[in-house]
Amino acid sequence: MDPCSLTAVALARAVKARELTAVAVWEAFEARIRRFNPTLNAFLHVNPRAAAEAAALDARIAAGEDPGPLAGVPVAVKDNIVTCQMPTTCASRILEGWVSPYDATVVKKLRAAGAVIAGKTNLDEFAMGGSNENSAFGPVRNPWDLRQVPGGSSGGSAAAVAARLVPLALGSDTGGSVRQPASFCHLHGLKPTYGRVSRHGLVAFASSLDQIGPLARTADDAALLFSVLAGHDPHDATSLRPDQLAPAPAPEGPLRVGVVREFLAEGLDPRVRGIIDAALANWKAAGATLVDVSLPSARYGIAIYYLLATSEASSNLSRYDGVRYAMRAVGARNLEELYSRTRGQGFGPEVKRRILLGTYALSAGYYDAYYRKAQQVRTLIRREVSAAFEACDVLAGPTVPTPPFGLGALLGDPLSMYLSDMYAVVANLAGVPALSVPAGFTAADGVDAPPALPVGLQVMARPGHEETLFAFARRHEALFPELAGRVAPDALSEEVAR
Amino acid sequence: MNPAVLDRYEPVIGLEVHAQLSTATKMFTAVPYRFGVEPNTLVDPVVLGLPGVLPVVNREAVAFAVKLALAVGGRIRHRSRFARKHYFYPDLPKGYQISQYDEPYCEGGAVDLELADGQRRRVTLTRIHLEEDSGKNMHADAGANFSLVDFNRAGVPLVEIVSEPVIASAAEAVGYLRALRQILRTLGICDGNLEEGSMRCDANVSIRPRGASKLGTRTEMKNLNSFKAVSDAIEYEIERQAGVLDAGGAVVQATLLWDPALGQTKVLRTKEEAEDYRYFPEPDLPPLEIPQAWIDELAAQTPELPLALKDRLVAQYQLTPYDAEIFMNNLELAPYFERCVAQAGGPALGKKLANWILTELLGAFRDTGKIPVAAEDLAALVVLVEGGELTGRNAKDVFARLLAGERDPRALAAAAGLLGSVGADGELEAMCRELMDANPAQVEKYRKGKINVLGFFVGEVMKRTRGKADAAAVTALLKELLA
Repeated sequence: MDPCSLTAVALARAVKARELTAVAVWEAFEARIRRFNPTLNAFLHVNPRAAAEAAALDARIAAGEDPGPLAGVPVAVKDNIVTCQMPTTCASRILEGWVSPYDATVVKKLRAAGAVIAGKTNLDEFAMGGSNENSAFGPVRNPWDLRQVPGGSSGGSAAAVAARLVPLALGSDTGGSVRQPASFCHLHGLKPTYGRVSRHGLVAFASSLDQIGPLARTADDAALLFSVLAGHDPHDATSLRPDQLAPAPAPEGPLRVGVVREFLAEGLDPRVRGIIDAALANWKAAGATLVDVSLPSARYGIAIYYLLATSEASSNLSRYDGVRYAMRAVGARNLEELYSRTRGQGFGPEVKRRILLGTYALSAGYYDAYYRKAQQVRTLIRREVSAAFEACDVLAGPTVPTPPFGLGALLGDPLSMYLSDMYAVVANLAGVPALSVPAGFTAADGVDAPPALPVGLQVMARPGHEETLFAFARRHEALFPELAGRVAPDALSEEVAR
Repeated sequence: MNPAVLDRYEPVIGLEVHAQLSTATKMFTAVPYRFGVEPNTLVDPVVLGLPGVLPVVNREAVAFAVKLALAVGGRIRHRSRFARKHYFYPDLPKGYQISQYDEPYCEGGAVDLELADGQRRRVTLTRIHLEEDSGKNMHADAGANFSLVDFNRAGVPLVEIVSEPVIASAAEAVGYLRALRQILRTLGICDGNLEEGSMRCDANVSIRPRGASKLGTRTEMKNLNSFKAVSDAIEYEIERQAGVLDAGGAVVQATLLWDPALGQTKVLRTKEEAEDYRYFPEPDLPPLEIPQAWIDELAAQTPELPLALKDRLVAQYQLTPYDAEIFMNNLELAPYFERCVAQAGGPALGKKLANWILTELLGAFRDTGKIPVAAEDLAALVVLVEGGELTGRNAKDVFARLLAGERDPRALAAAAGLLGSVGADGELEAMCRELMDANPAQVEKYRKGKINVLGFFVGEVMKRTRGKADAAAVTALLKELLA
């Protein structure tokens, strides 16, 4: 039995039943990391203590202890989530070499659930980007086609799961950073309800939008990881207490699927359109009610997202000043230079661009026109989304307007890159949960053209209704069995390595 | 200060006071704070602003802040907001301070104060908001190419109390600060130590020609860390601004730093250099909810304010304003005094009890910081004296034993044979006549004019009565008999 071909659910069951040891599981995945990571560049650090942690877990299982729901399952952690046994870089020079003195709440939860922390995955610097090319430590390649980006910012986590270097990974999603890579890598990627997963230990990009979410190959695996992550955390004042939000069960019977008109309009690649239309037609044929839904303010989503996210980012990234930890530029002659040199040398171009944008949006004289106006539109979007759920259980559409794009293709065109998240940001702005599920592949045509590339379908639900999303995903898997079995071929990832 | 300046110009002063709340832990994390501790030992990831940390509001700090709002009669918002105030400085760990901006938890309110001449003033408040303190830069010796930063103070809860520009003189400003400090101490929410920085003051000062309605351009002075500094700096600034106006110039809006050694200000920054703090609502914290039920609960715990206490002591127990002020300034003594009054059976003995506390007990209290005699014992002692069972002189002996830690004045006096007084039914007169008969020579001396012999007779009577006689009555009686 090759552990790497099993789902996380199956692995945990096998380890708990002592059919597999946690050590054997880790060794199998570690071998794949060693073999394929040089090509993919998905991992920035591999946990040197993973084997020892797996052995300790085996000892506990042998002693009759319950190892937890993720018994022996290797889980990769996006490198903007702090860990005290490995560096946390956020793929930025400014944090290079820094080791947190504390573990993020989600990392503690993973350990308590019996997971083996596999390592830290590559990302766009400080989670800012949609291609994983904004990493100080090099881009990540898409395991389905090495010439394409894996998406971002959780590109390392997505590539690692898609290439079966780990069965599960954590991403973070501020404006699509879990779902867009899930779409590009043929995965399930969840952005939970704002406040359902603790942000304590997630290096903040935009605090009012950030959520940690799972990346997995199957709906059950994503649901399993989410069940471990979710819950109130006293260290995060924005995390929801049970009295503020009671998680809801999935509805019985056929789902009412709202099709968001604005998500099938201008800017959508016809190849993606075809796949989404076909998927929805299958849903209808299977008994779902399709409801035409309009979110008129969604078209302002990207504009206000880039005002709010950059405003918060400009504030959150103020702490990297070279005074207390991590990088400090040498040779500064005064305080002003200490700041400007450290930040000038430490941050990459996209991070600087966003700090400038956000600083501008919050400046005296511009605040009302930009930040305040954006908050008002955010309220509108929130209301429209909330109203849309009166007539349906989920809102569906494409996750991303395009299939994966080529490495370097959009580097000189930040606006096009930003538009990649035009559908995804709506869920962050509204605070609702959203899941990207594998929907299909583009047709592979011609010798030089890319091979078939993954396309995802996004479903959103009411706050606290993650179970509805997982129920949708499970039925979706049943409707499209040929998609569920499809994995990225190893041969590709080996090509460049040789 | 040149009084002629005040003839021509009216100063308009507003104060911004930062008070550290003496909570068990910091504003947004469970780390304690004490002054004067080894640098960077009272820190954690939240205090240092490490990546990934989040603030969690300290409920005790909010409770303290609400008590202050109640004490000054401010309007408390049931839902207020924290905001981020941005600037770069090494002592500010996150590059922003978590404060409150356009939705502070308290607006309005007022502080009453009494000037040295007994005049009362009311300083109205604009607002009070909650925020966190910064760390402290420690500059090495001149010529060193580095500075050190101590983050112990960072994250300590502060209330910023902003007064309206209604203060008319340095003396009023100091009176306001003293009154505010007294309120903070009465509430037990801040120790009010200016030197250690647990209470800090910035002063906004402008002047305008007498009779003018338009406000002049103001300057803001920082680093006023004593009452003297506040007074000196304000007076200096009034005179400086008057000089500028008298010379036909215009006051430049600026932030100034007071140098107490030189007795003058220097410009920190002008309006053109003013920073843009880029305030926006703190996204890591939900709105601060202060429900009415909680306010009511805290109101029930809020003690009487100092000036109200003073007025009440004068009205209720006929204390002199001077005595009442001593109670106002030694807040633990006031409830003790009132316990004594209750034990003694009511306000009738209030003045007597106050006298005992302020003349006999105050010294020991100041020396030790502890109230040395139980209220019931002091009350019992005074009841014995006022009931004629114990003379004032003997009461002092009993009091000395109470101070030494003994209890129950009646038992002490009884055991020493001091109870009951001599003098009824001619007993005292008989004793005096007996003495005179036994000492004819002394009687003769007195009658020839050596009146200091009287002391001999009084002393003998007191000796024979073991102090139980009233010395004044004995003296009067002897004078009568010897005449």
